[in-house]
Amino acid sequence: MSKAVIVDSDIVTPFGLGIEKCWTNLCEGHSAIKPVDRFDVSSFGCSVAATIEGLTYHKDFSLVWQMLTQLSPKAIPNDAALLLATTTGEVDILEQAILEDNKQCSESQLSELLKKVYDLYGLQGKASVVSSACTSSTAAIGLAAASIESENEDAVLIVTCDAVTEFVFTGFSSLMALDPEGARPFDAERQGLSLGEAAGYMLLMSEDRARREHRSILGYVLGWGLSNDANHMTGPARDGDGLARAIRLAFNNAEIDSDSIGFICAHGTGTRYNDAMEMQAFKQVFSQPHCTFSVKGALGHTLGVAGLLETALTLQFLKMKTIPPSSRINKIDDDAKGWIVTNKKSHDCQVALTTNSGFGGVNAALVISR
Amino acid sequence: MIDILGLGWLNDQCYGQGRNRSQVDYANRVSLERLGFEDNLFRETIKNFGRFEALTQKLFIATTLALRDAGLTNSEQLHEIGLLAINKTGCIASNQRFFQDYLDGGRKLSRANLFIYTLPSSPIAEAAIYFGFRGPLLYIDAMDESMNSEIQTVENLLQTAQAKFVLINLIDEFYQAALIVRIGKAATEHFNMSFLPENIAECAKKIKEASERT
Repeated sequence: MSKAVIVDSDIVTPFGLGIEKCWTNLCEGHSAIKPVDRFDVSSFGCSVAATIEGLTYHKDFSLVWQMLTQLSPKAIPNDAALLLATTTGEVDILEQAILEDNKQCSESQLSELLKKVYDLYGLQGKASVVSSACTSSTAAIGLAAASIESENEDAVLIVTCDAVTEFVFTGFSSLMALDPEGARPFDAERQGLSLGEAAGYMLLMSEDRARREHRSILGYVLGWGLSNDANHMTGPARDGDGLARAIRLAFNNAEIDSDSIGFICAHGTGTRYNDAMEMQAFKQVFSQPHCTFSVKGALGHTLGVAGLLETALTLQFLKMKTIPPSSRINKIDDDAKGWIVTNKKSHDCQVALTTNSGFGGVNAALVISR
Repeated sequence: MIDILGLGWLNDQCYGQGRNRSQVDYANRVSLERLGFEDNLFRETIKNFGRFEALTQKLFIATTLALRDAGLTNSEQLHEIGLLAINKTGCIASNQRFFQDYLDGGRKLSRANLFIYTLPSSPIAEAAIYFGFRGPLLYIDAMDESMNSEIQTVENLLQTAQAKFVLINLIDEFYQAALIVRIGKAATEHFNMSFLPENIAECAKKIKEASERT
């Protein structure tokens, strides 16, 4: 069995282009959540999100396409299989089509974006869209690692993107899931999430091929787990059993136990139910508190991108031996005391856990090492 | 290699099963909700079934037929099932409905009950809740038509013990098919497809061939 290694990755976030820029801002405790000026938010009861500066809305190109074309991968082999992970993709094309009454909604289909991304990277291998709500890119990383370990592929490119659009904003507003003050994951007074947008890519290879091609190895995908709560369309199961199942599956795949984990990059959306559910799950799996943080108080919830974004950042945290604070916390929730990191912290470890959950009760966990 | 344990299918005229070789004409029935009740397809009333989109209603019927065909009925077995939805158009119709409704309402408030169907994984999420499936839940749309990518995904889920069984939901404009699969040695060897409607048999054949290739 060939190990799956991460050989290249980059992201564009509201902090700008690049993992290092994002890591620096996170470690300094900055937040990119700010008033939205892309569309009218006056009737939504929340007016903030983490958006990328300089993108044009309802013009020539979709928001996610403008993000994706900012990325400049170094050397993507054209035989790499492509997994495109997203929730709504180019839904702003659909908005524009309906607003202009031109009925060209089919151009917003995820399959259309897949073809465009395939051409953008000059690929010739297999290509698929993978969508599993806010675990989309986490699931894609797990599937890519499995395809490499089973020797069905020896290079897989994962591309992910989601944008803050009126479509998504009004939807989350209708669910009363947005915190008017901005997301405060694991805070006692948290009221909801903030939407964010981002795009990124990650190239996984078999370790054999990476070494043969003299690629830098950024890290390993040691294990992955996916599960479903079978409970509710928008809310998590409060007992955390579903996420705990995903974490245990990831540990089993990685052939490690919970003591091997140095820190947890949690989903931490800032909704009351998600954060409470995650703490329940962690307490089921870990016998003692582990350093835990969420980046969503800084970057917002980037939906299908969250898993890849947090995995890319986790590799940076492992490399720099520093973990960031969970930003925007005033008072840690009682459930999370002893777990949540509120100041930048030196932390030298080899292995970390990332978790994500989403609509439909989906849960995902990755075990990442450097 | 995967083994097909059961198949449920539905088109505009009939529904049926694979191993049991059943086929029922339902073209003159009033609604899928009544059909489910009158033909005793569901073990209990499904909350909001009448409000589900037609696609989700059909998915429920194909799924329950597949489970019965495979003989998977107890809750412990159902917990071990993962779900894969394969559909070329995703949720574009739901997206249009949601956004048009929001505009028609004066662009002030949208409806949460429409928003939750704006993910391509939403129909199988509804099924997971009702049937109690606790394995992975994924929507996949591959660029080529060979089914190789989809079957590779299924095998990845099974081989890494994410689920013991995978329910593959093929969602098309003209039919729906649900297949229960697990790791096996001889894909569909005990499965005679000749009595199935042509497009359903074609799906099962593609899965069999893809499984033999991977």
